[in-house]
Amino acid sequence: MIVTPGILARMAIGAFLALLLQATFFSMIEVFGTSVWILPAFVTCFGLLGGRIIGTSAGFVVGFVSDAMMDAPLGSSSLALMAAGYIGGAIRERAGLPTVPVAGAISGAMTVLASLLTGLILAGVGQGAALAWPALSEVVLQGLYGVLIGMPLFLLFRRLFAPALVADRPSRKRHRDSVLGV
Amino acid sequence: MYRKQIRRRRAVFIGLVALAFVMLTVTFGSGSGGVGSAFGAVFGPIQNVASDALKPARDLINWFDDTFEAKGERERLERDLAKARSEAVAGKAAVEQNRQLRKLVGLKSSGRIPSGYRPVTASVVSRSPTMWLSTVGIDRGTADGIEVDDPVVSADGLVGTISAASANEATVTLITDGASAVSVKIVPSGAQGVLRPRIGSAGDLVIEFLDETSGIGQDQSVVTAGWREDDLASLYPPNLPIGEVRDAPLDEREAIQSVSVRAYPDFRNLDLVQVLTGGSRG
Repeated sequence: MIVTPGILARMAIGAFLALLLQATFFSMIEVFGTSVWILPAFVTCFGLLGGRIIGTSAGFVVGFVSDAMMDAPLGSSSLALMAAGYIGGAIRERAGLPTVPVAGAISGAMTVLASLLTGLILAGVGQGAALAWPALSEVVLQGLYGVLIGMPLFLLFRRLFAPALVADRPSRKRHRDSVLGV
Repeated sequence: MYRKQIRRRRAVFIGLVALAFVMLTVTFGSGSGGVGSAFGAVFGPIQNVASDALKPARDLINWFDDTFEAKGERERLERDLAKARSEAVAGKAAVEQNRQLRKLVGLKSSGRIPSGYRPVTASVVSRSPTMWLSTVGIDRGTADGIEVDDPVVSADGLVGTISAASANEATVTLITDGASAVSVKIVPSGAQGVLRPRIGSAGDLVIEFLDETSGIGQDQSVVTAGWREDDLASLYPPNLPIGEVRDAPLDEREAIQSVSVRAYPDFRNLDLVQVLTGGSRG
């Protein structure tokens, strides 16, 4: 991904909207007994489009703001989301741009990973007892929601960041053979 | 150039991870370490507006979730209710059983069961399906010393006799059975007669063939007469309570006079009875 100021602004706006929606909507609804955590899918999609550095950086920033907004221990979400962004980026760099269903599946898997990592980190900083471990079924459900959110999100970002994507950049030049061979 | 790029990427990655750990360490045990309040000041108003705007959508989704959850909750509560109800019923049954057992013990200790009889307590396990309530089955039999014609009492008084018995169960023919006849006396008047059922009206009995009619009044007690003459004897020991005189519309001009009796035992709700085994008849 070629990060221009315009693309960076789009990314920032996207992250801001994602954080706002997470705080004011997805965290406050319950679907089958568990809330929806969209941030791992969001960061993973960044990684899947932009590579390791983009994914990791997005994970750090989004995690930091998320922790600050929720008054959670700073760095806990960052570490979990950085892992999701990094793995998404690594897949992008090794296997190329994935298809939408694959992106959804990866987002779901990263959501599960981020949920478990966050739990581990919070337990490590002594808040595990108060927070209690989320039930495994809830983690699996969140993973499922990650799949469902990851697919449209990936599709949206792919369109939004299309000018910056190296592989997806459409070639506007048509090569014609010169009569003179020049 | 490429190596430099890789080194820079590694440095960024390691730097971010290290920074996250530093933040975790610095803010250990203090939430976001004050950063949250600063963010709150900036994002708070925006969050409030967004929250208000998204409330209808949130409520809609939560309504669906609550509906699903309420359905599951209702099923769980129904199961709990059924369990609690069965426990309550079991508790009430135990209380009632306890009350009846206490009364049975009282019957024995009050001396109403004559000496020489060995009471065997039994539970009523079956009932006659007819409306006449003539027989009940009990869970004790000949193995417990029960024999045919043994008198059977409840906590309130005489209920019948054993009409059939096997090793572990027996049938009691109630005094409300059409074929039943019990020689009784009315106390304190001393009048004696034969107690027979009023068919179709459980609990209502009638005394016929009274040997005298004077002095019989309402609410006087009716007990077994327990007679004996040569080798013949009543099936019932004397002075077992049966009921009380409901009314005595005696007419001197009638050849057969009768007295209506209200039985003490509730024949519809017999749960525990005692079979008076052994002893001499009359």
